[in-house]
Amino acid sequence: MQRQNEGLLRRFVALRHLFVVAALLLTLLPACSKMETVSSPPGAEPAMTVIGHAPPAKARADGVAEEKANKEEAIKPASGGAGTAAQEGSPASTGSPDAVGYEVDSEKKSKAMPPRPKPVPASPPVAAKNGGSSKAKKAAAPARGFPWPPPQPSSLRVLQTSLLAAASGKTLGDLDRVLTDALDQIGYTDRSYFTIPGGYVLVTRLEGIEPDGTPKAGEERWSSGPPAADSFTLSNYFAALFSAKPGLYRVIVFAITPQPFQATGKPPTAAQTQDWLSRGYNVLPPQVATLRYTDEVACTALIYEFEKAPAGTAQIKQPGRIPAQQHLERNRLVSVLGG
Amino acid sequence: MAASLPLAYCKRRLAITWLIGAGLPFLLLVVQTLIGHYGDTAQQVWSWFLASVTPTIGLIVAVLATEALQQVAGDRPVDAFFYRLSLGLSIFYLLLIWLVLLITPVSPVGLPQMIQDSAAWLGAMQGFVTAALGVFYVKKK
Repeated sequence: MQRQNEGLLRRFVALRHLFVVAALLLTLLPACSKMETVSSPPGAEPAMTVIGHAPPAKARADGVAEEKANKEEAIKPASGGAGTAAQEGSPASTGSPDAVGYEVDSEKKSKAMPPRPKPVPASPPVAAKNGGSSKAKKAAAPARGFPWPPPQPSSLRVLQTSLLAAASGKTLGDLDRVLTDALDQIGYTDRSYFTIPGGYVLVTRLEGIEPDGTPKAGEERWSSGPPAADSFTLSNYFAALFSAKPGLYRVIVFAITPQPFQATGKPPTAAQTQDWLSRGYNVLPPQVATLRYTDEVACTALIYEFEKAPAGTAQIKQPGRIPAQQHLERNRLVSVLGG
Repeated sequence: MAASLPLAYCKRRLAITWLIGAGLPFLLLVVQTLIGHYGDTAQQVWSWFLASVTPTIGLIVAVLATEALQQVAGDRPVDAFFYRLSLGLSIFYLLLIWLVLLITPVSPVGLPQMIQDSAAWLGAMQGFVTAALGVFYVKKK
């Protein structure tokens, strides 16, 4: 009997301890809910950690090695035309000390690009204008750039020339103004530029979207983290604990070049796409802006779609959930450009 | 209170604590995995969870299974304080695992990062718990 009483007493003491701990946890959880979800900057995504891909440092090292090997090459557009001498897409022609060009994979380059003429040492017109061969030498070492040919996208669409008719017959700088004015109107204010053979690439920011391609409203559009709950309630908490609805994101990259290209096989990660945004030029380099916008120049929208489980990491969707045209219609780019 | 407790009694209490304390998060993870809550990180989460509880649960169940078919001679007494200490360490360790799983919906840190961050302190606690439970479940002549 005494033993039974002791057993009951021990159970009671143990239960009392459990209740105390549970009460502590319940008081701590509302305090945790007051922590605002920090809207991650594009370059750092604590709530969307990407696993499984080598950090860009290796790609940078490879890109630097490739750039040094290809330093003397001048890649000329297939069609030639006016301003050919200025259409050298080599990073050596950028004329800037911090030249940001493109990373060319030599193996894939041979598969993707048409045969090129023998490379000719670049003679940058900007450097000539500036009259400093020393400046040209300084500009001949690009740091890092957008991978070219581009990584395989979820979908792509060559924009109809009628959408960009306002810049027809002018320069790539005029084309850029038409495009960026439209992007500003629909909210894509964060952009960066990279030079590519015969043209340039314009990278936009990672954005959250609905399943039909419509951009999310408010802060959710540009935040890569989970949405902040308005208030902590048990129902919200259990909904988050057992949520299975994936988050959808996309990055749109515009490639403006007269040269046809094939996307490479390896898709990028979400972190890499945000790295592009922080690495590129802030404005279109003038030596590219002065290039002619001829009929051969095509503006291709490369859509990189990502899907992220509530407690998972962003994974690229290939093929994309919806076609590229629908993306461009849902974000109103087509309508703003006059399509 | 008694200064010593029967070994069999201590083993059963600890086994029940561990089976409930690890079984409930196991069930939670199964449900979350089936509905796709973890996506591509499911394998990483399961690797972490199973590494955290399987060694101890396996030891407990194996010893109890062995003793179920054997006639244990006598019932050695165990220091009551040590039993309570082991039980407390086990409950604390299991609550830490619970904490990692349950705090994720309200934490800005994703679960994969949280798992990496918890490796240090969970690993240390697992060592203490294993050392304490070894007294009860390792056969001694």
